[in-house]
Amino acid sequence: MSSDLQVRGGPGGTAAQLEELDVAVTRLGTSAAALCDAAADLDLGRSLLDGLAGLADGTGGVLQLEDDVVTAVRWLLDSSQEDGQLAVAVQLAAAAYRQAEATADGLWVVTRLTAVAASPLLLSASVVALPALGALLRGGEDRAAPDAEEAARRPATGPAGPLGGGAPGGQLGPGRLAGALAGPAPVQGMTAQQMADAVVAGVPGDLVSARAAGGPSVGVRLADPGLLLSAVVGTAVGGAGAVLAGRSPSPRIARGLLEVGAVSGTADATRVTTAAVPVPAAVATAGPPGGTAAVMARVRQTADEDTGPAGRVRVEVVTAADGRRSAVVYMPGVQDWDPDSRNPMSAGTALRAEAGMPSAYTDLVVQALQEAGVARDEPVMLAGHSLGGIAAAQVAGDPAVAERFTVTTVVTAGSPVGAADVPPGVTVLSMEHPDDPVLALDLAPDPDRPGSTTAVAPTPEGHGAHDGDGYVELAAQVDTSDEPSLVAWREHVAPFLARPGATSVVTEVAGRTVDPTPHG
Amino acid sequence: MPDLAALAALAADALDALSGRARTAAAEVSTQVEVHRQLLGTDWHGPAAGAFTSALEQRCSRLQDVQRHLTDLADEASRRARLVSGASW
Repeated sequence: MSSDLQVRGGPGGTAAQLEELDVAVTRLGTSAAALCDAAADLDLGRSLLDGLAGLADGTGGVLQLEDDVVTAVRWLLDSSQEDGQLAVAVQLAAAAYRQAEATADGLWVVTRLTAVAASPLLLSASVVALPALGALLRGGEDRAAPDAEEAARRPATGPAGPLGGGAPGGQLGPGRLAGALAGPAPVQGMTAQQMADAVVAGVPGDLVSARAAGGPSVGVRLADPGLLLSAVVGTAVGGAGAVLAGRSPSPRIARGLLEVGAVSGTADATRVTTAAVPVPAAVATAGPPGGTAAVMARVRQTADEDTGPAGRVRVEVVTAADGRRSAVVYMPGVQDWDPDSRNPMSAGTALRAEAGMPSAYTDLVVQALQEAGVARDEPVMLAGHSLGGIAAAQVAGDPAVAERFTVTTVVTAGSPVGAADVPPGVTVLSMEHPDDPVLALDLAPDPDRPGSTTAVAPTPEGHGAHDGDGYVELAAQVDTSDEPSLVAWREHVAPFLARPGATSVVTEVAGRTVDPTPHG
Repeated sequence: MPDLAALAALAADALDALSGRARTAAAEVSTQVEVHRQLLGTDWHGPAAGAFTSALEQRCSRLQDVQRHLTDLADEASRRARLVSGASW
């Protein structure tokens, strides 16, 4: 089973000896020059055939030779050009790594940038620009453009879908949300060479001076030509199309949708009132979770409305044999698509969380941690499925939360968190099914950095791609995998899990949003 | 009257020269195949590294095709040179 598991990022992820990349750049450049010289030399030899018709085995024979020479020259030149492109790609990758080392905030950009940089020889890929995103980026404004507004008005297209369930007509349903975030259709094709040109155009001139002239060829203004990490080209490899942004634009889009009123009600709510929920005896006495699969199974339990009210989160405070404490917060996904719902696990919350903004869910988690008596210096793991994972990532990056609690760990399942602004000090595990449509909503692959690991496995038979139970099975593979990044993950989360002498206390609270604009 | 023997000798020399250029090019390509193979050992891991390795492998295969084409071209030019000069083989 573990052979189905693919792992990206984490401690076993990206690593490079930058000096070796420099050597590769030099050798590829030398190779390109040598092949170009060989082509030129052979092309000169073509003149040797002049006047030989009739002597060298007939006219046809000479013409055939000449054709062969022309073909060889063309292939040599093509090879030279491809080596040159690969040299530029490696040079960009090395530059991106160096920049990322110097700019901790930009670490996650490396993967997508190098993926693009490496693409000229690998892919005949075309990149599609999204009209709303293009307008946003060209305008340089941190708000939705008319195209996004128009997309937001689009009616729901499906009866059921991501982030938890179906949407009533006219409300912010999955089809509408996905449509608003993903745009209607590809509108601009871009060749691999154009992608490379655009990347190069965003690099400081002394880095690739020979390619700097001419500016971007994709009609997109590069935000900061002096900073590689803000070069405006990106691609969602194997995902939901492509993105024209060094950072994913989905937080901007989500904020824009909120601004244009694409959703109301809980979208505006940032506060909840809470009530303690009686915890069933079986839950209270179960003891700390045995692994990541048990953690995700408990997230599922918390979403079960047969065992408790909707809109609740669970906090499990684990006390080790030596007395040290840690806490796990179990965070379910969307439970209500009604924009007027008081359930903090709503569509509006999803939009706020994706925008990186505090939401009612944030307040619910904070109050649940308070209720559980978690102290400022005790490590906290946030575990969420779908919206729960998005909210977990938002909470982990929320400065106001950081003043009161120490979130060290986030584990998500089926959550589009590639664009989330999670601090570098927080260890993240993202679990994904490749056909889970929800994962495309952030228009960004998960970051490849030492603290962030993505585990991908096919959807198990009998489960939907976004089904939480299917993710429990993926988590079981995480618990047994020998992949270095997952071994490191298990070591990291050990304090939150069952160990000899460890005990746990479980509390649950249910939240109801406080309407920020009460109607008279 | 043209000196056909002299013309044939000139043609053979030209074809031999072309053959030599093709062999030189093939040798250069062979050298670059080895350079690309050595680059497969670059200490680089991760998604971009995987793409890089894949690209190098494709480049090696492609360059080997070019090398074969150049070698065939050199052989053919050499064969025609011998034919023009009247050599038998």
